[in-house]
Amino acid sequence: MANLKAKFKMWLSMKTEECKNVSPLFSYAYDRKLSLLEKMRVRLHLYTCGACLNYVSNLKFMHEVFHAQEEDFENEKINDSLSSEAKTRIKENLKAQNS
Amino acid sequence: MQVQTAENKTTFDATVWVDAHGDFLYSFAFSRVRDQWLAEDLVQETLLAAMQSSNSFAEKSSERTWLCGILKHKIIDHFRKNSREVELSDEEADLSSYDYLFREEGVWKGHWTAAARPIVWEENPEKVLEHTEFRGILTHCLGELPERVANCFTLREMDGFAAPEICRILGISPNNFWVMMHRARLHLRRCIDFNWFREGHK
Repeated sequence: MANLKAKFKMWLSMKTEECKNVSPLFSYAYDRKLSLLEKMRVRLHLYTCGACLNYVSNLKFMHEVFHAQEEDFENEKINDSLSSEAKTRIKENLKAQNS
Repeated sequence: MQVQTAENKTTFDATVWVDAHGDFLYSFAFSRVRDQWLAEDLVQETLLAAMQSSNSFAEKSSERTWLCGILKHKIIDHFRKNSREVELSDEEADLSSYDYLFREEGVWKGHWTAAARPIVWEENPEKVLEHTEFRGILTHCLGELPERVANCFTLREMDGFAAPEICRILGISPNNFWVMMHRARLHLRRCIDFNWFREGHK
């Protein structure tokens, strides 16, 4: 029975849309509302395609990484710093500008 | 901070900002522009502008928030100027360089090739940022994109601007916007996958 389901999924994925054509929708979903038809295309495709399921979860991961990076800024947690030369240079330029 | 009109006091304040907020402003700018010199320039421009308008600083926000607000404007101005100087090339809104990710023929035409097939990423998105090497990969991968495409992605994913606003800043059509975002995600996903998850850094 499980075997039959797998075969059906495989057949369906050959007959339905290509990953290449559906993949833009996975991106659009982050920036706008998908239409009903687009949502159906996404759901049907993800039902049959494990690779695209992974693609979608990778996109979610990336979205969360950038979100976490912004949260770090909000919490004033930073990883880079101005070199001491740059600090000296900027201070001098500020003084020069003000005099 | 008390704002004084006396010149010597203003000078003092401005250089103190470099030590108090310089690293923060630099980190923020660097995450957006990925270039050390440019990020340093933006910090300096921000502090100069702040110095000249220090009476616009309201006590209700923190000094750092105020400075960061000025920096954000400077970064967007930079993106805007940059977009005006460079004509939109076909290459930026063209996806054909990613055709290699998908099979070209057979019953599985248009499906992922074996090499490009996405895998499960077993990592915590918050924890992974603690690795200097991972952050370096993010910077590197964003830097591989054409500049306007990377800026488009940054404005959306880091600053959270909506599509119409981004189109105005970068001078692109809504259609360009959708293509650029998809392109950026296709590329970043592939690049992070290749450099971090398949290289055995875990």
